[in-house]
Amino acid sequence: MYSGGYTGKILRVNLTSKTAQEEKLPLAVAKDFIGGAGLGMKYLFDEVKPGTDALGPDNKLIFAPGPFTGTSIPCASRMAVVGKSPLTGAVGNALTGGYFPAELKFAGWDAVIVEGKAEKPTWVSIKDSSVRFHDAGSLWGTMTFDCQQMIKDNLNDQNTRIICIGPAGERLSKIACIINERRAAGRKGLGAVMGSKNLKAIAVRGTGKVAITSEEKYRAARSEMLKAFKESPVLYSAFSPAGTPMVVDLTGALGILSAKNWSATGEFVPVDQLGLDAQNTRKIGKEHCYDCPVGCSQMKLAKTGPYAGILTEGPEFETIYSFGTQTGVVNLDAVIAADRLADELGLDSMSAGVTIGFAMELFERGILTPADTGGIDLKFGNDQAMMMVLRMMAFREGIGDLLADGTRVAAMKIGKGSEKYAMHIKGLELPAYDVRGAKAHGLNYATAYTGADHNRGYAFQEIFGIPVPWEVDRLSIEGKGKLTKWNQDVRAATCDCATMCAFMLDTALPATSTQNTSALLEAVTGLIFTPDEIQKVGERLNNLAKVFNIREGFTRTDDTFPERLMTEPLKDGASKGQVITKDDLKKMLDEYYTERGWDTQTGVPTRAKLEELGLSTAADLLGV
Amino acid sequence: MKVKVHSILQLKEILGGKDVEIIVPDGTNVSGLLAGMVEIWGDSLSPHIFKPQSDEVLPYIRLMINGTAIQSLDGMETILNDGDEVLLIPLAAGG
Repeated sequence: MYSGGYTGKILRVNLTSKTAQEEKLPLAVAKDFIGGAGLGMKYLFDEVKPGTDALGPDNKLIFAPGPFTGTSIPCASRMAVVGKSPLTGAVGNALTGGYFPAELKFAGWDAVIVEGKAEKPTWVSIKDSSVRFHDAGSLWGTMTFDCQQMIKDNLNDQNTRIICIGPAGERLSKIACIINERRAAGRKGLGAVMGSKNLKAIAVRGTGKVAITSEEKYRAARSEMLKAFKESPVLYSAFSPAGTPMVVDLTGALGILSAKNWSATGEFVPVDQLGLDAQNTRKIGKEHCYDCPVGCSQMKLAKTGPYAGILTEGPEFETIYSFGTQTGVVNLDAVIAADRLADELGLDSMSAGVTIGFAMELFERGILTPADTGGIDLKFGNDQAMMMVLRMMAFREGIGDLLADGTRVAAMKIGKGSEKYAMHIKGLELPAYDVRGAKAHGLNYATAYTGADHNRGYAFQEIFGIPVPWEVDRLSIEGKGKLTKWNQDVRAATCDCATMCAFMLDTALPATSTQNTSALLEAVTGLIFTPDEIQKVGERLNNLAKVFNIREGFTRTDDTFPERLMTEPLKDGASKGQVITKDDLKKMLDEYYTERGWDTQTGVPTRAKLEELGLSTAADLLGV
Repeated sequence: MKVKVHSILQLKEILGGKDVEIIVPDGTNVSGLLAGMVEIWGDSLSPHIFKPQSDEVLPYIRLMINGTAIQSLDGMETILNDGDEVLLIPLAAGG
């Protein structure tokens, strides 16, 4: 049935019954959703009923690479992890790279669906078609790096690839992540879902290879992609040696590098301390994901004070924000140490840092007191306080327990008007870009099906000035609904479903990403998609995810911003005076819903739109 | 009059700092500013801003005046004022 790319097999692991079952991947699912996040969304929608407790046994976790994963297509070792998010209550979808995704394909699986709940702590090993359940009693409580090493030793195989959780996931922190080597499926608290299932880790080893349908077409399509890499004005020349930290300098210059819980963007701009030049003083090497010629991950070693000697892969731009500008910490070595500690604890470095910054603002305003913090002087800029609280969050100790589930839950517990300072959308903490100075980027935050998630519809037009599909004014709200739909649909299809590293598409193939995916899909799988049909896959995913969220009770009122973004203009910098008023947001949302073919009053997809996308069953369930 | 040019990444390295003050005649537009900068920094700067053998700015170079893209003003003809901050931004990636 499948001639390449797909193995055609899904592995269903039931932790309650300790059974593993092989299922066929229906061809219709591959055609409608390609793979990755699309495949995960399809199974989540079909199998997780509305109102399911995200931390209960009926939630599921779907680990889904794409048809390109495990081939020699560069930058395609990516995997979506999909489940209902305990942090947002909406669809949870986090992607990760490294080597695990390719290894899963070598083992013969297009996806693994994990369901049920183990009676006691468990880890699962997959070697090709063999699946074993192991007692994780001795692993429970370990940090993520030690956990991975212990499993490798147990299996006597240092090349086994592992995903696992740390103490945060075990304690059901709603901002717990899943760690894969030194990388993460970071956001939306999916590590807590693993914890709720008593699942400490999954190890995988495969001996197979991924077939290619047409070697001739494959060579041509792959060469075309690599040619675009070489011709990129930034990929090898700047991005490869610098990685994502260069965006600190860029967003600083644009006046959109969020700072001190979004209260000081444009005023507090510590580029000299945390930007690219500073990062390079700590760089000792770099890392590549499987079959990536770029290697954007920068290895950094802290050199001073109590942090000297701590090594991390990163910190990436978003973590420099969350543990740096957001908390007011300008000690780069502390940011390096916090990045490493968050990975070891299994905490999402973004949500964790934003939550600590939130607590710092509350402390400075007197809403939290030394009695609440156990005497910790939780002021902006106090790096040692940040490190203490970060650890306490993972172990749910003291003030850490209050903050362990992110800003929304903490604000509900604290009260006293603290919600005003909780920087989240749908429960997911905001990424680094202060969207008062990048309006389409903001509209994506407001409308993305996973909450405030820059990866669902990154507006590279506004951030990098790339004029594709058209040139835009980052400060204008005009046309941003149409642009956001394009960004979300194209990225969903070409990056999240295919699966492919978004950095490559942005830097080398912004204008041809759907053509690139189309050509590669035909060569690898034999399935024919026009570029427009590729984009339609993304639209289908975004619509199905929207219906899932509506069934969970989300409405148009959830597509919004924290109050600060709508009432406090930026005070300084290159975006000075910018704000997104409630009226601005309404206008952008109206245009967005219209472009999507959704009801502008409610934000609910129309039956006509859902039927156009082949989602009539979703329309029936929705009652439209 | 004086304008401040703020740049980042490789352009910052070429100019010798993230902020440089440049004295230009009253009435100078963006095009004139860039021409004046090429006179100062010469061939080390020119290929990073202009297409080869051309005075056309590379498509991925961004120019803003006090945060506003020149495309939303009068483009390369935009007249500068004393004290303006001109952002000169190369293509970046990541995020």
